[in-house]
Amino acid sequence: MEYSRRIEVFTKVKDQYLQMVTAVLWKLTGDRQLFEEAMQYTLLGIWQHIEKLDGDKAPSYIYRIALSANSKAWRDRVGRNGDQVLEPEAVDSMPDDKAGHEELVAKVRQAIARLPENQSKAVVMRYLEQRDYDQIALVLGCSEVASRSHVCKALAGLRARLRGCLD
Amino acid sequence: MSKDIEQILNQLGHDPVPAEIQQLAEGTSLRFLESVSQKQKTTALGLWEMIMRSGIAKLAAAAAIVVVGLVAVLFRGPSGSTAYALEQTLAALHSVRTLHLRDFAPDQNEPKEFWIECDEAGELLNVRMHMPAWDAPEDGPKEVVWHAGKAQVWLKAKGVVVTVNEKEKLSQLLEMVVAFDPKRALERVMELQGQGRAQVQIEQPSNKAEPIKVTVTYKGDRQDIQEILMINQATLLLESKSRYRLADGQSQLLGADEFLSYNQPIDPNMFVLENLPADVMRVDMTRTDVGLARGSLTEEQIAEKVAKEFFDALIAEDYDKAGRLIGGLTGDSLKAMLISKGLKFVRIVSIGKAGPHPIPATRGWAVPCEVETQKDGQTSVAPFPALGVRPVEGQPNRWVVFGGF
Repeated sequence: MEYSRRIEVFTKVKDQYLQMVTAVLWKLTGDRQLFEEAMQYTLLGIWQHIEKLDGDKAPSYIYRIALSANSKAWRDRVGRNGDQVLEPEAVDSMPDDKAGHEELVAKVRQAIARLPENQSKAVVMRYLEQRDYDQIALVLGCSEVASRSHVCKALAGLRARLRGCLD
Repeated sequence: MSKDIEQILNQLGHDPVPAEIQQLAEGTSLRFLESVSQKQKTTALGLWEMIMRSGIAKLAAAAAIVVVGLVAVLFRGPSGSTAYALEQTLAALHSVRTLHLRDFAPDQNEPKEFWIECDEAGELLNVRMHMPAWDAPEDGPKEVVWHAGKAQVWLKAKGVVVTVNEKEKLSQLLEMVVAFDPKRALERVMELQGQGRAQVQIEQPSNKAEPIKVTVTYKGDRQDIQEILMINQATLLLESKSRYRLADGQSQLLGADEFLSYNQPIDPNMFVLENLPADVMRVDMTRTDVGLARGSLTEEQIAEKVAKEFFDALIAEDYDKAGRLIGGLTGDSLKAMLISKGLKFVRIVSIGKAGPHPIPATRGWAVPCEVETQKDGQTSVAPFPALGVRPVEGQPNRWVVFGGF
């Protein structure tokens, strides 16, 4: 693809999907720095796979790129909770129940990042974007029944991973 | 706590995206688009990837942006016309060695501020950056000085100064900065102009005290981006640059840079962190003696060993060793912190088996420990259910405690 054409397609994709990607990544990260890193990875992914984004399958690829970017950002993260010297003051100052909830939500976010691709796409569309199953099926290129199955499996996977935290 | 996963997910789904995050996304995507629009494919991507991988990504990215004006570039001289041409500013930038600028974000009163010093060859010598709290609320306000490959970051709210070794990453980054050749950028503007996707308008007031106004409008499918450059007529250097999004007849400010001075000597003290609080904690991540060498131990074994030796050192009041084992904190800082809390470590009750850290992204191990402590004359057993231990950044064979205790 010509360089100028790449830029043209990239601009179009950005205009069309930036709002959706922003909402998804924010809900999956909940942290400004992590969000920014995930967004950067997403933009890079879009640029690298721009040829695939000039057609009907673009929405599915966009989800794949964004969720992959989210996983990378989480994997890269060795700071904040990890790098803080001594006790994290912010957590200390929170009431126990709030700190516990924030921790649980963070674990849920991380667990989503580790789900199989179609399951993570499905659960993100279903809950984080509140989409109907027929819309999910359209993006995933599967039947509505299959999209329900992906969501169920994702929930089961999340419950299994977070069993100790949810009780 | 009894929570259902669907309840949590639904709650996440209903949480609104803050306006600040939407602006951040917009700004990040525009910077990326600008980056790939202005440069050859490989260098642009290389730079972007470099920025993302840097441990001090935002700082390095900021440095890259401001150093643009300092990099020696090939350019044609003024065309001979009496009218102003962008090439004249490129020529003026050729001799710039120091720069002081402020970077403003919409809806934020306090700007980021940068002082940059280069040598005759355009190589970066010193940088100081003032980063307000809004840039990274989790860090709070930061002062950063960079010299010879080492950056010192003063996290004011946390009372910590961290020294990190960024020589390799920054030198690679600076090489990439050369790709920001303004001449190439200008050619790109002209190319886009030729394609009808960018318009360049130059307004040169007859009053030489007033700046030249250069308006560059990039055409998009749904919205246009406009950059307004104000050029000093006497020096032909950039005074300010502001970016706007134009959509639906509205103009929205995306950000602005104010170039306060060029080639003015910068006080060397600017490149030193001064007036630090007496009780500031210093963490030197560049020390080669931080942590413990793993040797032939398994990861679990070295994690447990580091945990044990860390608490042994605290019990023995060997704060220098304990500081080394927690990533390069000075013994004095650690001692002062423990004294201020009135905390004493008495004996290890148990060191459990290491397991994967609950936060996988930390790539660390968690060691459950119980230690008898004294505080305010009271003795108790303090549980440390997941003391984090992992390799030192850049020294994979040495392991340290991380994440506090």
